[in-house]
Amino acid sequence: MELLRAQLEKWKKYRTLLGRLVQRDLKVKYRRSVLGYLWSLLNPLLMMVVMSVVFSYMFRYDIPNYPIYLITGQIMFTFFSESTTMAMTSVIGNAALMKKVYVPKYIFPISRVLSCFVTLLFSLAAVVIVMLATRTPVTPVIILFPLPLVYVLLFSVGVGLVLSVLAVYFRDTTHLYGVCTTAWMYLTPIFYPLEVLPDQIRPLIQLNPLCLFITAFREIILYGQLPGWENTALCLGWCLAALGVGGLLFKREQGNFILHI
Amino acid sequence: MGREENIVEVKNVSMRFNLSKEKVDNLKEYVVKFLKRQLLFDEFYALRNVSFTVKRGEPFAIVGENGCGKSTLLKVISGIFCPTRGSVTVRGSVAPLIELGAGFDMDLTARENIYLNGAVLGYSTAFMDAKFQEILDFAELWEFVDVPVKNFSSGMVARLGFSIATVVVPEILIVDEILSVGDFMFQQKCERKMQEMIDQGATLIFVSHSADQVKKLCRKAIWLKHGVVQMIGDAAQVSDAYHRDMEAGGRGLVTPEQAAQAEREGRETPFFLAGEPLPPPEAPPPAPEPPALAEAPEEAPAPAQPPAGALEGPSPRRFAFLSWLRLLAMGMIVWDHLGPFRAPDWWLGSLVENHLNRPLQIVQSFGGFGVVLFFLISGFLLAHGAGRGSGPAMLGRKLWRLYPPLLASFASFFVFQKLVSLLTGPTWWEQFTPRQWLLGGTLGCYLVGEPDVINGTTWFLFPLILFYLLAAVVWPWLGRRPAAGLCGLAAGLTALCCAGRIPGVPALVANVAAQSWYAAFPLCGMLLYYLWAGRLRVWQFAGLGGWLWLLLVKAVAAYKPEYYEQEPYLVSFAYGFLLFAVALLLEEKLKTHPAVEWLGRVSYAVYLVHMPYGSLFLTLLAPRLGYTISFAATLALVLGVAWAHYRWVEGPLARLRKKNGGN
Repeated sequence: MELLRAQLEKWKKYRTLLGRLVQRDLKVKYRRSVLGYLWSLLNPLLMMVVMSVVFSYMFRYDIPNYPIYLITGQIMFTFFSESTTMAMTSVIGNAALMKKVYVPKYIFPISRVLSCFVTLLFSLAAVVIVMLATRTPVTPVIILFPLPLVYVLLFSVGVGLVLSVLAVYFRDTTHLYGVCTTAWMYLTPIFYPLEVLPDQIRPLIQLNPLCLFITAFREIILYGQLPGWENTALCLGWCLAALGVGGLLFKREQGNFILHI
Repeated sequence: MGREENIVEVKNVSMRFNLSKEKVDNLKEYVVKFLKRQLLFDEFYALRNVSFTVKRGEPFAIVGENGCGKSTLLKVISGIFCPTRGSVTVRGSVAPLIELGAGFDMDLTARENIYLNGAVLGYSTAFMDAKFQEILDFAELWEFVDVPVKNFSSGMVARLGFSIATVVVPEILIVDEILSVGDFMFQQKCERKMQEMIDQGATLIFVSHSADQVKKLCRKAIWLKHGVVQMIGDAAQVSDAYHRDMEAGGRGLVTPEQAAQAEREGRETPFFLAGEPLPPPEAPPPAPEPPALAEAPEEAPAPAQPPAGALEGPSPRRFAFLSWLRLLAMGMIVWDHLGPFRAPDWWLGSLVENHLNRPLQIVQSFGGFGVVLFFLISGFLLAHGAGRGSGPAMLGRKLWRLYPPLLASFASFFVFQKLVSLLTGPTWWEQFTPRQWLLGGTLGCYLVGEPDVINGTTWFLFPLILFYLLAAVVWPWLGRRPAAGLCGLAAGLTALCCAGRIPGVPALVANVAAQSWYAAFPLCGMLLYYLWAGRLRVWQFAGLGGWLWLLLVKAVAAYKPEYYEQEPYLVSFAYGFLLFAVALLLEEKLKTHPAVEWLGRVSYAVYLVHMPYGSLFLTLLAPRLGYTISFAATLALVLGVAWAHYRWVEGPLARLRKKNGGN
């Protein structure tokens, strides 16, 4: 009980810092650009346009309402890869600070993920624009749209914690992870439909957490359906597993960071 | 307590760093160092067994030359470093002025940085709003408030940092030689501000080279050298002693060796009190010895302690020969299960079979031999620890070490073979029902009377657990009167074996009894230990040994007639027993080796994973690569899986127990 209260006190004390760090990340990201925060909206829109042109004319997947299909997958995946990459370097990057003042260390990876999440929320405006432009029917199910976003947020926090620990001990992680996200992107049905995959691989891809999150998001936004129980259970399972592993690993190793950075 | 309380208590703190070393000469060194976990690191102690207290409202200074551990000590107090050993208690809020401007983002403006840095120190936005003007006034940076900090001079950054850090009067103010930055006017301003804070009740902890500053600001002081406390006491006297020592060549008063020695013995490092007569500067090297030596005779009865402590503490002795035997046993079992057992026509297998196993009557291609060795090792180690703690505690400890890893190995293999099935089509293990998986994984199958069909090698855990269970009952006697305890064990085992043969006995008892006779093997390991340790007379050993031999022969004939008639299992037992006895006699001569040590440690993990994973790897590899190469590759893969199992399952479980046991 005493311990819990102390934790709560600490959390209260450092909540401001979390907010400040998120603000700082956003400010630094768009500093000196003319359009500023508008880029969070423009970026996915423009990417979507490029990709839908490429894939509509070159590969021709037969997907109804392809722009929405594309942008839903793309903003989710971009958020994941960007936030985990940022979280990965958060501990190393704040070494100077950690060596001089006591700050709870989990603040760094979490603030990075949260600042990317703010960008993701801006990008939702892009989804709305595309929905209006393509006259996608809006159903009451759409109220559930935050659900997959929460999934991907929790999952990214977990993966980000793991990566930030790994990066402290093996700097090679930072170089390797770029390759991993690229591979992961191709293993996630962002611009292709699941059906084009060969039968042996499909069940594996369907276990891919990002595929699950994106499927849930598309069910809600694009098809106006509730995601199935199996999908929900698997999504929650992945989130809990990632958070559990990340949290425990981070908690165990955070005392040693200072000796390695 | 009131005002007199200790605001900071530092107790026996040691801080160890791993200095990175880039160079490893060759592959062998690399492997050895990896196994010993010293790769790339060299230990360095920045602080050694440091203890002192700071009273509330009593300005305290830390003096010493560069690299003596002053800054490390400050960082330990402010919570940035967690000490390797020892404890630090801080009662009150800390404002660390260790390096000013820590946490500034150079791209942000002064205004933004004030808020950010305030948040780093834990202040809320509303609070910073209220204090904003005050900070700016003190730093005298009004016209630069919206300029990015990267355009500031270092003096300006320091001014801003100082203003933010001192905006609240903390209970403890930690200052690390910051007064050397900024211009003269600002230095004076800082000093005034610090004096003001001290007057308002802040306790100052101050690091400096300047004797004047120390004398002016502080009342008490501590002198560190090489991370070891040299002197504690009145600031002026300590600072003078430090400077005199520096002028005399800086030999110091207490050496790191003395501190390390004190730490090992769990007492405080002897240090000098200010004003105490110092050893004459002419003969410094022998002079510091007396205090350490003077204490040594007082602790002369210390050697009497280890035996008393041995009853409670961890086992004081590591047997090198056990690692070798473990390695050998593991090799034999893996050889049997992945070699001749799976491929009777394999050339290497039949070579060994024809030249060793057949002439020597070693059954099961060494499999039985290896298992007997494992049993003997378990019994030997149990006897070595007997009497320590309580019987149930021992049983709990053993079960915790054996059982959860077993469950985990089945679970991981289930998932793994599922994945392989998805990729390459159904594996051999797809045929089993959930019931079989459950019974096999939990050892429940032996209670029901079915063999474990999935792993097939875990049967030996059942009699082993049975053995520990029986030993827990006679535990108190085992420690005090081994002969009585062993008789009790043998009697219990005999009763169990006989009970299984009574017609009409419940199936459960019959099933347990059918497995129980293996428990006589670890019992023999106990006999060997007690004979070796001189706690069992030779006639007692002979009597008990004869009894157990009779029990084994009868039980084998009754429960496993094929081991009596076609496959002479007890021959392997005799070899194992003799080998164990010889190794025990050669105990002094056998040196351990890191690689052997490591393999011995993962041997349980290898035992759990080698059969399922190994078989699966072999069925995947053998059709493509031929048996010899597949065997070698499988061996490597199994070791990898076992290492992962040891690292991620057994290690964390052991730590978990230690943590809960510690509390």
